[in-house]
Formats: sequence, structure tokens, C-alpha cells
Amino acid sequence: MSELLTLIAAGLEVGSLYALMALGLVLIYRTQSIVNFAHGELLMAGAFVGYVAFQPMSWPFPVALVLAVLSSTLLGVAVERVVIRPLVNHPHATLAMATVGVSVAVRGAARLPFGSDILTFPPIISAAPVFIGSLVISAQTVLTIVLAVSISVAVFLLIWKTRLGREIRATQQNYLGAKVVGINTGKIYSSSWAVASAIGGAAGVLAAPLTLLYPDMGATFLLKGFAAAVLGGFGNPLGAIVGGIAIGILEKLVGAYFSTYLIEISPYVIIIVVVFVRPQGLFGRGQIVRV
Amino acid sequence: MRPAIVIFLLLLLLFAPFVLDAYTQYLVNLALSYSLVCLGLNLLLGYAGQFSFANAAFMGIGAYTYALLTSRLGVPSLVALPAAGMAATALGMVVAGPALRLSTVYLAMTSLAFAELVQWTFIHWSAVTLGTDGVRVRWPAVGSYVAQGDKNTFYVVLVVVAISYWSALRIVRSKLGRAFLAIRQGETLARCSGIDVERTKTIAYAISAFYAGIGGALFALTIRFIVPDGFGLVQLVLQFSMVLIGGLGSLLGGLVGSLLLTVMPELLRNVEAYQEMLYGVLLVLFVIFMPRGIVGLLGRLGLVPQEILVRGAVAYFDARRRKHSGL
Amino acid sequence: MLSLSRVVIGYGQLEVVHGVDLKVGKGELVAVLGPNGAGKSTLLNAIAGIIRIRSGAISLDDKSIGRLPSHLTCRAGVSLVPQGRELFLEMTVRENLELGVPASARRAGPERIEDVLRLFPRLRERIVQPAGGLSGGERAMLAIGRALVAHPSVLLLDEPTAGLAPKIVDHVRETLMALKAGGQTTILVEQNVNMALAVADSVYLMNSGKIARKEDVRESKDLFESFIG
Ligand SMILES: Nc1ncnc2c1ncn2[C@@H]1O[C@H](COP(=O)(O)OP(=O)(O)O)[C@@H](O)[C@H]1O
Ligand SMILES: [Mg+2]
Repeated sequence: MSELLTLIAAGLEVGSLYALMALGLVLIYRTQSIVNFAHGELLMAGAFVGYVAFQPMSWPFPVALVLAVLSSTLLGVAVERVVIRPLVNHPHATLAMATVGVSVAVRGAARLPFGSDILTFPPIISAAPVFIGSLVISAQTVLTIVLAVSISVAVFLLIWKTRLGREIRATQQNYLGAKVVGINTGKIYSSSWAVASAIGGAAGVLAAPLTLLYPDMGATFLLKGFAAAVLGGFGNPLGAIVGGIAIGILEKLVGAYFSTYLIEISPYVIIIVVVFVRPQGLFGRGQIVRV
Repeated sequence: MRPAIVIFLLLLLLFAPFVLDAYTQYLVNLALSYSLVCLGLNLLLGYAGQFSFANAAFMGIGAYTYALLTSRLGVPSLVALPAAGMAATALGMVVAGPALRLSTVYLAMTSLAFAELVQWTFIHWSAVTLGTDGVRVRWPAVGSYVAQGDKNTFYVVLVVVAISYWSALRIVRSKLGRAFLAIRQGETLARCSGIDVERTKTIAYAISAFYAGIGGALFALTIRFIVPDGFGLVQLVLQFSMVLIGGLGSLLGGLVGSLLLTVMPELLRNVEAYQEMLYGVLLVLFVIFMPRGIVGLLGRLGLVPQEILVRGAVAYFDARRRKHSGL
Repeated sequence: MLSLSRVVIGYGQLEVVHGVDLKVGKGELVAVLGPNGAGKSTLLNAIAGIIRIRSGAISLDDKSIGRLPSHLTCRAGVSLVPQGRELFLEMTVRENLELGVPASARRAGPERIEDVLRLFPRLRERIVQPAGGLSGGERAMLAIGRALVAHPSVLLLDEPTAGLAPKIVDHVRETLMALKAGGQTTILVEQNVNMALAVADSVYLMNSGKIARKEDVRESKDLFESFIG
């Protein structure tokens, strides 16, 4: 029993990161109908910047987190302005190709300084583990979950409670309508990418102690983010969160009771199964099947 | 182009091994192999307008089928080569199933997941694929003759590529080729003009996978050692770049793109970081500024005949999305 | 006062509006009539900054607005009720109206919304419902209301009565009369000739991207009816 609970706690920890990933993907998708294949690189950039600040520079963790978030945000906004904006009226296929190009280019750029070795990120805090009954959870796990939840809540408040959030939703629902009421849609595009990239950068720093740091690390998270978003019905932010957590827990259970090899393919299998069995996802919305 | 010119160029190519050094010869072989992989991608994306991330997986299946059949089972090259194409085709039909009913966005994600799954299989099904150790590939043999060395292999590659391009040309000029174009320009319209859209798309996937598979086999026998992670996302970006830079919707474009992108990275001395940056940046630049690629530009300058580019080939990529229509 | 001079607009290779001149005085209601495809919507969209003009000039109270993007023309006082209404279908009626209020006038928002609800009592009944559930007439009212809460210097209406029941057309007409009485400057694009002639101070005819003629309504009603048929 306590083993199961421990697995679930570990699943929550990674799952909350997949959820952050999916949340960013969905945000961009809803604003511009773009699937951002470069989203993993936003996470990777955040992780590396956080690493440099936290490790060689030995700055406090909050500083590292803020720097990582800022640099991912900057990168994301730049990608939107330079690559996406000129193509925004083009078909999905064109945009997908462009973001794939960005993804590989950013990876290449990261390989220059960080390519030679695989880095490890030490635990952020060394506090004593938390005991809940017979269950022992490391402080690191607790911190990750708490931060991920806080970030998600902040994003939801932003989307549902602020004027910017309302303008983002308006633009998502009706682009022309947004223009008609005087919303600066260009600003909304940048803001959506900024928020999504900030989430990605934060996820990167939180993911860093859990995984190794290497230029290709974003790919895994991208696919898990896709799987989470697809499971939640691509386009639904709440679905993305639930999907991410479900996949995190599922993969820990599969890893413990079946085989760790299967962890790696779980996102692919989930994407393919969901698309075939329940393409509208758990929280059905979004246009999956051609009309 | 006139058949006479083509035959002249081919004859010229026959003498290539006498003037090239071994390494350049190897690069030429590699570029020719890639041109077939691109041929497959171009037929699907440039002609039939179907977007999918599965092409690198088709290529990988072809490469592995050829390598494993010849190296582990001693199957003759001339049998293993079409077998590689057929294996990829079988996979292409599997992908075509969902592809028929998915929107672009979901197709992109699903086919990416599928491609990763294929790569995972190469790595972990090591009883068959030898996993991350990779597979060594022998020089191709025709009967008792072994095409030892890159210069002799060149003739094998050249013959296969020439036949493939000739057949592809026949296909795009046939009724089927016109059906591909019709689908790209609009499925509803295609349906109205009596085209069986589902069947045509499935055929497009099958043919595209076949060429990519054969290209993969040539790739394997050219580089003579294959490893699983050669068929992932980077490979795919390379292929997108080749097709787009050469010219989407032009058979010649795939050839031009493969030549350029095989030779150019060599100038970067094989540094992975620079190569990735090059592929990625070129892909983005061409998508934004020159979606018709080099052949499109040459066509506009009147340097190659316009008919080399399918009429309206890029209409697919120039089309505005309805959401923002006209704004 | 809004004035257009030699305005040219097009899509891609296609030129759709070929040098249009138009003047709308303060408090005037000007109607633009014309067959489908004449370029009327294109013209309104261009005034609202949603489509770029190729050449020519548009000015509002001596301020040039012809090259401004839509959010700045909005701020300058132009509000468009587009042909497709373009409401936010997943948001409530109130949220739609709130989005029409410019950020600079947020404090006055509730009061302006109250004014609109007085003008269209039907919307008050639906205030918490999503716009996606409204009938065609209610959508037209909401679209007009969403434009009015901006207190525009110029209101642009693109076929506000198209496809509506006669009773609702009457309601919209009365509303326009009331707005005019209140001094609202308006351009009304219409297919419904009677409606346009009933409310407009002057009428422009548009055909194939050109303003065909301009007359004072009260003098030559018959002429227009014979022209448009
Ligand atoms: N988004 C667009 N792209 C290309 N052409 C357009 C677009 N919108 C309208 N047109 C063309 O512009 C012309 C004028 O259209 P429009 O302004 O909608 O006319 P109206 O509103 O008078 O019916 C028509 O010929 C139409 O086909
Ligand atoms: Mg119109």
C-alpha cells in the first residue's frame, strides 16, 4: 500500500511537469492554431539557464528560477515574432515545419556550450523528507509539486480573472471579433507565447533535478506534453493538467509493475491509442477529425 | 526536360567515378540515396499535399530491412532492395489508415509518435536489430559480382535512382498523379470530380513509403553502418529542408535539395551542432522567404522550364487559412 | 468628421476598391448601398483598420487614420459592426459587452452597458447566457451594443439587418433613428433599400468598387428606387 502511494507521489511529481508542458502547448494552440514542436526546447533552455545560475554561479534557487523563466520567455517571444508571425496565416503544415526547424536549430545551438557532457542538477532543497503516515516523500518532490500547482493556479487566474486573460480568450474565440473591439492581437500573440514559454522555462528548472540535462532533453517532455494534451482533449487547459498528471502516475505504475522500457514509449502509445479510441480526449473539444 | 538531355547527363554521370576521389564519390552516392528518400516525401507532401512526420521512419524501415536481410540472412542485394521498399510500403499503409481521418494537427502529432515508436523498436528489439550496436552492411552484390568500394557501388545506386525517377515521372504525369494534385488543391473538389479520395491518399502513402524505403536501403549500403538514432527528428528536419530548399512539388527539387544538403554539412566538418543549426535555420528561412525553393526560383528566372514545377504546386503552401482569411 | 479620399483597397493581386471618396459630417447617418461584391464590406473593414489600404487617405477629425492598425483606429473612435457579427460565442452577453468597453473607459463600463441594455431590453434577459445561444436578431443587437459601449465617434454598420425578421428590422431602424437623434455619426451599409432610405441623411451607391453617385435622399428617393430596383 505505502509502495503504491510512494509511486503515486512520484507520478504526481513528474506528472505535474508534463501538465505544465501541456498547458503551454494548449495555450499557444488555442491562440494561433499552432502546434509548437519547439516547446521542448523552451523547457531545455530554462533547464540550462537554471543550471548555470544554480551550479557554476551558485546563485540562490529563486534567482535561478526567475532567470530561467525570463530567458525561456525571451526565446519564446522571439520565436513568435521572427518565425511565427510572418507565417500566421499559413496552413498548419507550414507552421509545423517551421517550429520543427526552430526546435532542431535551438538544440544545435545548445550543443555548442553543453554538448560534450551530460550534466546533473542537484536537488534544490536538502530539507528532511515529509512523513504522511507510513508514506515518506522527499522535500524535493513536495517542492516540485507545490511550485507546479502554484504556477498552474497563477496561469488560470491570469486567463480567467485579468483583462489580459479575457483578451487572450477573446482572440482565441474570434480573431476578427478581437480586432473589431480594439484588441491588439499582435500583443495577444506575444503574450500567449510569453506565458506559455514562461511555464515551459519553469518546468525546465523543476525537471532538471529529476532528469539529466542534455540538449535533446526537450524531446521527451514535448511528446509527454503532447500525450497529456491529447488525453485532455487538445485545446482544453484543465484537460491538459489532468492529462499530464494521469500520464505521470500511469508511467510510474507501468515502470514499477511492468517494465521501465515501457515508460519511454508510454507517450507514443497513449497518443496513438487516444487518437484511435477517443479522439476528443477525456474533456472533448478541439477539432481532431477533418470536417 | 528533353529525353536527349537527360540521357546525355546520365552518360556524363557514368564517368563520374573516373574523376572523383573516393570521398566525393561517397558523398555523391549519399546524395543520390537521399534524393530517393526526398522523392517519397515530395510525392506525399508536395504532390498529394499530405503532411506527416513518418518519412524518416519509412526510410529507417527500408534501411534496416535491407541491412538485416543482407547481413544477417545473406539475402542477395537485388532481392533485399525491393523487400526494403515493400516493408516500408506495408508500414505506409498502416499510417495511411489514421491519416485519412485526422486533421493536420493531430496527424502531425500522431505520425511523430509513430516515428518515435519505430525508432524505439530499432533500439530495443535488439535480438533482431542488434540495438544500439548498429548493423554493418556489406558492399552490394549482383549475382557473383561484388560492387566493392564507393565507385562501383555508385553504379548500383545510379541505376536504382534512375529507374525510380523515371517511374516517379510516369506516376506524376499519369491520371493518378493528377488525382494527387486534385486532392492537394481541395478534397471536396476532388471528390466532386469523381476521385476516390481515400483510395488515392492510401496509394500516395504507399508509393511515398516505397521510394523512402528504397532510399533507406541505398542509404544503408552507402554508409555501410546503420544505427537506430539516425532516423529520428533530426533526420526528418533534414528531409524537410532538402525538399523545401530544392522545391516542393518538383521531382528535380528533391534532387537539388539532397545534393546541396549532403555537400554543405561537409563544409561544416561534421560538427553536429552546426549541422543542426544549419538544417533548422535553412528550413525556417525557406518556409518564410522562399517556399518554392531553388527550383521555383530558377523557374521564375526562366532558367528551368516552368513545367518542372507542378502548376500551383505551392498553392498548398500559399493558401491562406480561413480563420484569418484576407486579413 | 470622417473623410476618405481616393482610397484603393485590394486582396493579393486583386484590386477591389478603386479610389473612393466619401465624406461623413458630424452627426450624419450616411448609407452605402450596392449589390453583392461591390466592395462595401471591404471599405468598412479598411476604415476600421482591419484591412490595409493600398493608397489614398482616411481621416477622422483631421487626424489621419488610414495607416493605423485596428486597435489604434478603435482608440481613435471608429467602431465596426462587422457583417459576420464576430461575437465571442463562448462568452456571456455581458462579457461581450465588457470587451467592447475600451481600457481607457473601464470605470464608465457598467453605466454604458446599462445604456445598451435599455436600448435592447432583449439582451438584458440574456445577459448571463453565452452569445453562442442567441438568436440571429439578438446577435445583431449584441454586435451593435458591443460597438456602442465604446462611444465611437463613427459607427460603422455592415448590413445589420441582413437575414432578420421584419419586426426586428423595425427595431433596429428605430434604434438607428434614436442614435442619430443623439448625434451619433454613422455609416450604414445595407442591402435593404427602404430601411436605408428611411434613416439616412444621404446615400452613396457603390458598384464594382466605385462610388457611383451621391444624392440627397429627401430630394430623389424615387431615383434610387429605380436605380436599385
Ligand atoms: N478575403 C478576401 N479575399 C479575396 N477577395 C475578397 C475577400 N473578401 C472579399 N473579396 C472580394 O472583394 C470583392 C468585394 O467584396 P465585399 O467587400 O465583401 O463586397 P460587399 O460587401 O459589397 O458584398 C468581391 O469581389 C469579393 O470576392
Ligand atoms: Mg458585404
